[in-house]
Amino acid sequence: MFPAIWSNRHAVALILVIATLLTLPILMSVVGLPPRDRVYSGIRVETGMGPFDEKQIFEEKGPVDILFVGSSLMVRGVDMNYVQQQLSQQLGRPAKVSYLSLKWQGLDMQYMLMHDFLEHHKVGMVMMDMPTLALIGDSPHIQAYRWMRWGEFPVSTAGLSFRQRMAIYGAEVLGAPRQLVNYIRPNRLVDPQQVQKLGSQSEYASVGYYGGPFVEEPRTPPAIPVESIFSRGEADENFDFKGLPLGPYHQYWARQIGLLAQQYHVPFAMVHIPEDTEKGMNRVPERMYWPEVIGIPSAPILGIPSATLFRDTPASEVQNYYYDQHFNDNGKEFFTRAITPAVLSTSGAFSLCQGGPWQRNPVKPIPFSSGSYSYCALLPSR
Amino acid sequence: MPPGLTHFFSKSLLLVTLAVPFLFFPVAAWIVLRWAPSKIRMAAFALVNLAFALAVCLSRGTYGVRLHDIKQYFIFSTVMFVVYVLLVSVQYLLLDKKLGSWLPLFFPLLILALVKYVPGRWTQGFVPAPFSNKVFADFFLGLSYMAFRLTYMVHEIRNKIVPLPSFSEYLAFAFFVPTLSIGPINPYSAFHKSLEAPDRTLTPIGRSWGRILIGLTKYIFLGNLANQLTYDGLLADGLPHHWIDFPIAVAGYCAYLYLNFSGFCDIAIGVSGLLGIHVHENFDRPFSKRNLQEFWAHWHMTLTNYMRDMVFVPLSKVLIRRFGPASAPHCIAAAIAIVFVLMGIWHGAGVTFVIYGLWHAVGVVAVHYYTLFLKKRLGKVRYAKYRENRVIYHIANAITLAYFALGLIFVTNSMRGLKMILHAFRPM
Repeated sequence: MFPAIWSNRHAVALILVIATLLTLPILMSVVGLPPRDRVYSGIRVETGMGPFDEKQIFEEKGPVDILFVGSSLMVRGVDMNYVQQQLSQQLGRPAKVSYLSLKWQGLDMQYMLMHDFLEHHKVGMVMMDMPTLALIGDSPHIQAYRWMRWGEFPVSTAGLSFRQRMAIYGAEVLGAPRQLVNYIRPNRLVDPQQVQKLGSQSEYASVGYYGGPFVEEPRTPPAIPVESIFSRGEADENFDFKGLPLGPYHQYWARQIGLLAQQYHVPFAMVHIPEDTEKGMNRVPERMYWPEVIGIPSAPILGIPSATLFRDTPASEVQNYYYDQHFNDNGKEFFTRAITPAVLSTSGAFSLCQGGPWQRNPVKPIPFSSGSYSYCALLPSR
Repeated sequence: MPPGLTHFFSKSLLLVTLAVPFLFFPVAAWIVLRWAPSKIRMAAFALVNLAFALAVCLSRGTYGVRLHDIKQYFIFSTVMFVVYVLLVSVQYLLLDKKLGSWLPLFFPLLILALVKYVPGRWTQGFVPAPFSNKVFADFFLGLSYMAFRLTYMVHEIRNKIVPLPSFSEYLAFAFFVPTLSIGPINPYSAFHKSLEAPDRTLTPIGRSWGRILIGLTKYIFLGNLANQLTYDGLLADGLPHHWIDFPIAVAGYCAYLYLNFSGFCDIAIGVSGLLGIHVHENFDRPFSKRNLQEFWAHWHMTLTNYMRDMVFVPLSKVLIRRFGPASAPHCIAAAIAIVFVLMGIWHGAGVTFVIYGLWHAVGVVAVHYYTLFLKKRLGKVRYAKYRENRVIYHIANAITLAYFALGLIFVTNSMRGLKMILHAFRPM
């Protein structure tokens, strides 16, 4: 059997290499990190729409009426153009809806996206999808190493346990080689068509369930009372908040998201995008009662039980609305049409509290929280 | 399965995939080899190997399978593993009954060809929908290595290097967990001798632990970091790139492959060593070699040895016999070319693997003729001096490394991947 290390010279070289690699994130922070937008442009296509997120955060200017932040479920679940068009009609002016996402789930990632966006834009309302069972474990987002850099977000990571901070540092060590390459070239995608295509995730538009043939389905949802879409507290019969709880790491980031909303005084709401596995369910499955977890007790949750959403659809055809756990274009359009009145109502309610243009609007916003709360109290305090 | 347990399996996938073969298996195997009564020892050892081989198959394949589908996946995967064991058992019957014929030599290769090279679309309907992203071969873990181990065993039994094993020992060898997934392609003779007459000078305990430690460092830490700068980690991300990213990816992939592969082999050799089972080395400082011939004698050595004994030697003998000793250099060149093309195909199905084989065939044949030319031109003494020249050595070493690293672009990328990489160098 060969020896593990051939000579003392080899041993010293190996130790030096390992030590350098382990301290690389700190060394880079000391030297000075490349601009933050390069983090996004290095995020690969399979991971999500990094360059599209970068464009919206760093290049586009002006206020945004609704910002959607979430996972791939959100991008494939909500037709942002439709929401923007409906909102424009309601407001009587061109509305602006933006959306940021990366694939896979993780509240640390959602915090980072929201944080970067709020630093650069004024936002009317943030709407987020919260983790489902697809979020496995209690560690940094699977792609965190691509966007976490030593020395950034120092305040928001201060309350993490030593073990959790070490997990983040581990991700930073893993991502350091690519961050190092960012010093020598920017690698920014500036072709607007490419960026737009990336943002649309249109490659999943007409894909059948798990590679099966795509079957065009009716895209008009059943009439669902808007009031029933809002969660009315922990005991709401349309929602089940007793799922597998998040671990402390992601609960921490959930709380940070709440604090971030308060810091920027941005109204905050959540939306549930139904997955294929929810077929036939009479309640919206959530892992936890989110308003409590994020620390904004009256933040609304919007959701439609799968059985309600697909009540007029034969059970055998429900899968035609999905390409895996995500919606294809059948499902995207179907769900967006069903949920949009509630999204507009939420935005309107917040706007009303702030004395915004909804006061002139003919559509009455729905009070979406339980009786003990005034929806104006939903606004995080300044 | 309770959601908590499936969550544990999924979130700890790397831990599980390493812990099953390299922590739990050696403990179980050590208990069996140390404490089981001699009558049932080999049968128990075979059972331990089979049980942990199944666990390795399940844990490695779980990646990408949703929790919702995990029970169905486990059932399907287990059924496929039983099929795998049955096919390997058929080979034992052939060894026992048809040793003299071609059948035992070709049966494992036939299974390999059927499973690995059959187009994915032919088997797509067979794999259930929730994990239809997996191809048929994903359910036959380490089949390429298994096929070569089993055919080499035929070679060794026929040449009376080892006797025909008992069925238990045969299964224990075929599904020996540390080397199941990516080798080394350990010959049966080494396995058999280790069990018959254990020799601690071949498998010292201290060195075994050292190899495990260095292997883990290479496989988990250094390999993963290098992977950030490979074709997949850097170039094939669907985004445009600056030209400087290409040499970074070429070097990055070469480093990643070495660290990942040799790291895994270090762990496998170390864990086997702890059990007293001698596993042949797969890497011997290949990056210090001065030409491709030397490089291949020190890179993936068990594969090189297999190809030498099973293809190159018999083939070159046949060719020299056919064309005469005067044509020996050309016959050897032809045998080299065929060996490397076959080796390319063994690495995977697709045109790029054939190109990879041809790439190295051209390189090694060029070295073969250049060496003959130099020897003829310089004579024995000057050729020896030429070999000792440090400057020439470093230049030759750099060319060898660059050639090898560049060739890897074919082994790691499909034609679609190659197009994606070329497409990446468009104006940003």
